[in-house]
Amino acid sequence: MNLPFKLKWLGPETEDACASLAPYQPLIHVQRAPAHCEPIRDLTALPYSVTRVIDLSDAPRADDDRAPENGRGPTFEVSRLEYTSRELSSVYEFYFEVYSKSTALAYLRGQALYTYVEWLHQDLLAQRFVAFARAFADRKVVAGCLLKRFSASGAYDGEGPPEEDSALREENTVGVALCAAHPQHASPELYTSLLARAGEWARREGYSFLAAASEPGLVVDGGRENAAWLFGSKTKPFLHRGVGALLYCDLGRCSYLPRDFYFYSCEGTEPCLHYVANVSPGASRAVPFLSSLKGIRKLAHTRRGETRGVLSKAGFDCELL
Amino acid sequence: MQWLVSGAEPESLYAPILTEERLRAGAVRELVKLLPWYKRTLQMEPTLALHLTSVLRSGFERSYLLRQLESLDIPADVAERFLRGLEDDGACRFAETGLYYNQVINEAAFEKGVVVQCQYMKNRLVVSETLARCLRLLDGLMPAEEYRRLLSEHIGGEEYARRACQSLAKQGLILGCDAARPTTLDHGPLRWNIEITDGARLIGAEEWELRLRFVEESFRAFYFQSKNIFPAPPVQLWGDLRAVTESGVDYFWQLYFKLQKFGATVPVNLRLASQQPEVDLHEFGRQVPSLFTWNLVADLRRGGAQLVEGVCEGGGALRPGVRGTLTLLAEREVPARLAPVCESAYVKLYFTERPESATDPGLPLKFRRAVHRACKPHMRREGCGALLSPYVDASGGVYTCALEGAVGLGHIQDGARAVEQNRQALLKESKGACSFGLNPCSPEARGRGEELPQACRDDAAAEWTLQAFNCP
Repeated sequence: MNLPFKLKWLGPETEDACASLAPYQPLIHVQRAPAHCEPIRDLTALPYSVTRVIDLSDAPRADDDRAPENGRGPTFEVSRLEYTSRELSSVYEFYFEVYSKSTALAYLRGQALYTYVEWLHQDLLAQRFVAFARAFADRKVVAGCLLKRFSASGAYDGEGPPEEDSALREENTVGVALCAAHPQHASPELYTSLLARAGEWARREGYSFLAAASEPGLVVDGGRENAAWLFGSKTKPFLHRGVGALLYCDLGRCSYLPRDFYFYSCEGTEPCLHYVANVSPGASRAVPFLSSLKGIRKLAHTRRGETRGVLSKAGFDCELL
Repeated sequence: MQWLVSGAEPESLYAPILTEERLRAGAVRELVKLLPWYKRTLQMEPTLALHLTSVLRSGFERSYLLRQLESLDIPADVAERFLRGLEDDGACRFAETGLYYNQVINEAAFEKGVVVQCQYMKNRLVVSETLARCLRLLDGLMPAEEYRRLLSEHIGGEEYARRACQSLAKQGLILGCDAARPTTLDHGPLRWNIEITDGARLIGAEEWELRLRFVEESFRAFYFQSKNIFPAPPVQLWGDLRAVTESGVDYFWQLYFKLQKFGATVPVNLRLASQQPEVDLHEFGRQVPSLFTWNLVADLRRGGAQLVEGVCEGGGALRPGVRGTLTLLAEREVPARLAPVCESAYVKLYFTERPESATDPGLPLKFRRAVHRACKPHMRREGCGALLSPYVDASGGVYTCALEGAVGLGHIQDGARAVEQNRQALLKESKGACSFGLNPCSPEARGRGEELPQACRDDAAAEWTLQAFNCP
């Protein structure tokens, strides 16, 4: 779903433009806002980007890597990628036998229908992956997770100097580039166990955080490629580079939009997540999404009474619009 | 041991084997045909070529090359066939050489071993203390026999010395050659700098037409550029801050449509003058397309220090853009009072003499790192990358770079081919560096890492980003 309206920050005129458009546009995204700006009436400050991380210092420890006593259940292996021919062939095997099949058979909202392998070639040639975690059942790979060198800028800032002051740095953070399970074996427990092993390896290697790809301060489409593992894990959001955009959001009228959306506000000292649940509870990812976040204040907004009931029952503050 | 020797430049070190002619003739295309079916994607040939150009360089030992090709997921038999094909074509040969070269430029203790940074490799390597001691015996360039003799005496036996030598060669830490001349082969200009101010006015549409036609003609002549593969933004603009900001935003909206095909960003370097205009650069930047990133350039030798302090104190109005840089031109030293500038902006430094400042550990780390980055050409014992970032001035004259003292290459009216011939001629003569740069054959370029300030050596293991070239 496209945002109803995008504006470029033009200074004080932007405030006037939002005011005149507001009766017609319930959601207006103002891009490239000034880094240091005074609070502006009706406009919420959004961070430049947000990275969700698993804090390895308080993540649950994985069990020892032993074969299960009763012979059932997967076994796990995590190793640093040294880019030998044997390791590279195992990465391609995982891509074609597990990842491609999981995306072909399971439709994920926001995932392109045609997944092309060019990006994997480029990342392997550039040696961006640092480790490969795999789950085996009957000697076959049933799930895998590729860990990548971390970049705080993510996909939303192609160039520019690195953010030297961020708590997340390449030295202490490793990113989850790809986490997929074969459709016949996929389960939340499998993802959790796989990530626990990957996290254990990262902790032993001296990393402090296991991170997902960065996302912008406003996300309109809640479906993401790695939703399965993100929603199954407890992650902490890190907001980068202060204010990157401004948002005009009339919650009352936004609740008529056809999709859920959420945004991170970063005004003042306490960041907050606002989730606007517009679709029915059965189709909404509100509960798993909100459950997967910690360390941030969460507020849900909905026009649907049944949605409010579901969210309240799950323990989340929800405002009925 | 078998060392790679370039067919085109047998006396050069680190000369590319995959030259422009070989790439355009399809050397890598033939390699891709030997790979599995799922590797034959649209961009595989130029992507693989980009990685191979940094690996297939003269001086490396055969075992190191095969290991690097394996890390690019090229099967061993295919790699052997590929190398044999290059040998049969006369692009290279493998041979014993008379000299060994130590390419390590910095080292620091790391856990139980030693982390080393090399002149020609991207990643840092961790080696054992024993191998590090063997490396230290190789003083830059040395006759192979003499090094082997020193190694035997140090390590206690010829067999151990042979194994140590092989181990170092296999990791690419020592290179073999018969001479160590810098290579004169490259893959064309990586970036074109264009001056947009002519006094108080900005260049017009007709002048832009000539420049863009020239730049496109230049890029079409080279393999990577013709396929839109650039390691850096291919077009960069230069101008006077006052003239640019007083021109209004419409000029950049017009320019946006001309330049957007060249890349995702177009850096704009604005020179600070003695009288700064009353302008909020951030406000100006927000009104023009986000294609442009705003950088500032200040000449500290001509009162630039006061200007830069004004940048710090002006409430951020004249700070570089969100992704911008502040370039400072200095003689030998950057005043320590400018250290706070490094906290708020990404700073690039250029010196006309070898920098001496930033040895005080009490100075902020970012400031010391900025000076450290400026020492790269001296540390890497090679030229500053002049001729990779040529410049077109307001009258259409072409120069080797945008800084003072650059060498002329002709005029855009001569055509891209003629200018390229002049550029190649300067490259072969190892000339072309500006007042802030370094020619590869200069004594400074042949200097050793020990001459670096201590603070720079300590910081070396903390942070390093090697770039292909140093020119702005």
